[in-house]
Amino acid sequence: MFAGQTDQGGLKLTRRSEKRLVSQARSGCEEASRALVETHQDRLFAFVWRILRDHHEAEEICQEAFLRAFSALDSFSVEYRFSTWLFTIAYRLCLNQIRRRKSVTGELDFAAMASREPDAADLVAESEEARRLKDEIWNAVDQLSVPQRAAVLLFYREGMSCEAISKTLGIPMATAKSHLHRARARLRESLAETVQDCSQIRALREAAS
Amino acid sequence: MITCQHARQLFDRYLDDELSSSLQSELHAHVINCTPCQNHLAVLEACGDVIRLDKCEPAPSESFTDRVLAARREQVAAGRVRARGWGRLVWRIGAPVAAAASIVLIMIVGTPVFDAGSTPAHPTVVGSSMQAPPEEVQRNLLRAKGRELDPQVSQELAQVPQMKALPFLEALINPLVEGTRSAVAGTRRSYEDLELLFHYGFNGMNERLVAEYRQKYPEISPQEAERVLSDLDILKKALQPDQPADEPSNIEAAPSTPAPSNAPASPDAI
Repeated sequence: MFAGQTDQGGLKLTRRSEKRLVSQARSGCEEASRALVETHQDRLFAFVWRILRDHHEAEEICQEAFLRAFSALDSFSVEYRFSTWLFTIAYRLCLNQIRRRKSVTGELDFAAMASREPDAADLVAESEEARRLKDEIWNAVDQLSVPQRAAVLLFYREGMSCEAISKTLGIPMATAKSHLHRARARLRESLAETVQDCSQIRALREAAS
Repeated sequence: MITCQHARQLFDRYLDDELSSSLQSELHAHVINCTPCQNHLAVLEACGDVIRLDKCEPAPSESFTDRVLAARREQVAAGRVRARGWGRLVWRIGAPVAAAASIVLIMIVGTPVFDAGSTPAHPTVVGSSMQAPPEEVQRNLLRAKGRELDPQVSQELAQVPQMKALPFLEALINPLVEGTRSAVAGTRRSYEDLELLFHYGFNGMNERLVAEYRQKYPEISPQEAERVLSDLDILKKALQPDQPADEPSNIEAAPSTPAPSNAPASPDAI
C-alpha cells in the first residue's frame, strides 16, 4: 500500500511515500508508523546484526533506534532519507553497545561470535565450492573493523554513496572512503590464498550471482 | 596504455563509480588483455556482489513490528517523548535548583525569606512559576535535616562564586536532587542524562556537555542542542549570587518550553 518500489527483495519507499508516511507518523498515525517499521526493519536488522552478531542485542538496538527516530520526528527534515537517519541512530547505538560489551568482557572476539551464531544456510541449490567461498567472504567481513564493516554494508547493501556513508557514520568523507577501500583490500587479501585459478574465479562468480 | 599498477590503483574509484568515462575505457582495455588484473578485479567485484545479494542474515522475530509499536504507544502514553530533549530534563532539575538559587539571591540582597522549618514568609520568591510551592520547599528542608550532602553536588556548589549561603542551599538542594535522581532512575537513558549533568556540574555546563550529549543521542537536533544551551545559561545565571537584584524575576520568566525552531535538522548534524 505504501511501498513504491522493491529492491532485491527488500522493500524501499519512494521519496514521496516516505514523506507522506513521516508526516502521518508525526501526527500520530499508527498505520504510518507501522509502515515505516515494516519497510525498514529487515534492512536495519541485517545491518545491526552484521555489526553486533547477536540476535537479541540486534533486536534491542533496532527497537531503540525506531523509538528514538519516532520521538524526534519533529526535527526530521524530509529532504533527507528516513533510512539514512535511522541507520545513523542505529550505528551510534551499536557503537555504544560495543563499548558496553568491552567494558564487561574486554576485547571482542568477532570470529568467536561469528561461529557462535552461524549464518542461516542458503537453501538455494549451489555448488559446494560456491557456498564455501561465500562463507569465506562473510568470515572476512566479520574480521573487518566495525567502521569498515559498516561502510561496506552501507555501500553494497544500502547502495549509499561515500558521501551518504560519511554522514551516516558521522565521519569525514575521506575517512569513509578509506574504510571502504581498506575493507575491499582486506577482503581480497583474505581470499587471495583460496582463489588462485580460473575454476575458483568461476566458482566465485557463481557464488556472487 | 596504462600499467597493471596504475590499473589496480583505479579499481577502487571504478568500483565506487567515480571514474571518468575515458579512464574507464582505458581500464577496460587493460583488463581485457591482462589476466592477473582481470582476476584481481573479478575477486573484488564478486566480494561486492556476495555482500549485496547474499542475504543470509536472520530476520527479526515475527513479533518485532508489534513490539516496536507497543513500545511506541507506551512511550507516548508515559510522556517519554522527549520532544524537547534536554530542556525537559534540565527543567526538571533546573526548576528546583533555580528556586533554591532565587531564595539565595533574595537572602544575599538582604531580604530574609524564611527559616528552615517554618513557612516561607515570601511565597512569591518560590512561587508557582518555579514549580516548587512553599510547602514543598518546607517539606524538603525538613527532610534534609541531619543528612549529608551528596559529595559531588557539594563540590559543584562549592565552585559557585561567592556562595554566601552555601549551607542553606545545600540543605535545600540535596533532597531535591535525590528526588530527581529517583524519579528518573526508572529509565536508563534519563539516568544517564543525569549522571552526565552531575559529571560536569551545574556550574560547568557548556558546549562540551552538549557535544557529548549529541554524540550519545544522535537524533537530537541542533535546535534542541541550542535550547539546551540556553536552558543551561539560565541555570548558570541562577547559581551566580552576584547577579542584579531583579534576577529572580528573570529566572521565573525563563520559558520552560521555548518555541520550537522550524529550521530543518540534517542527518549529518544529528
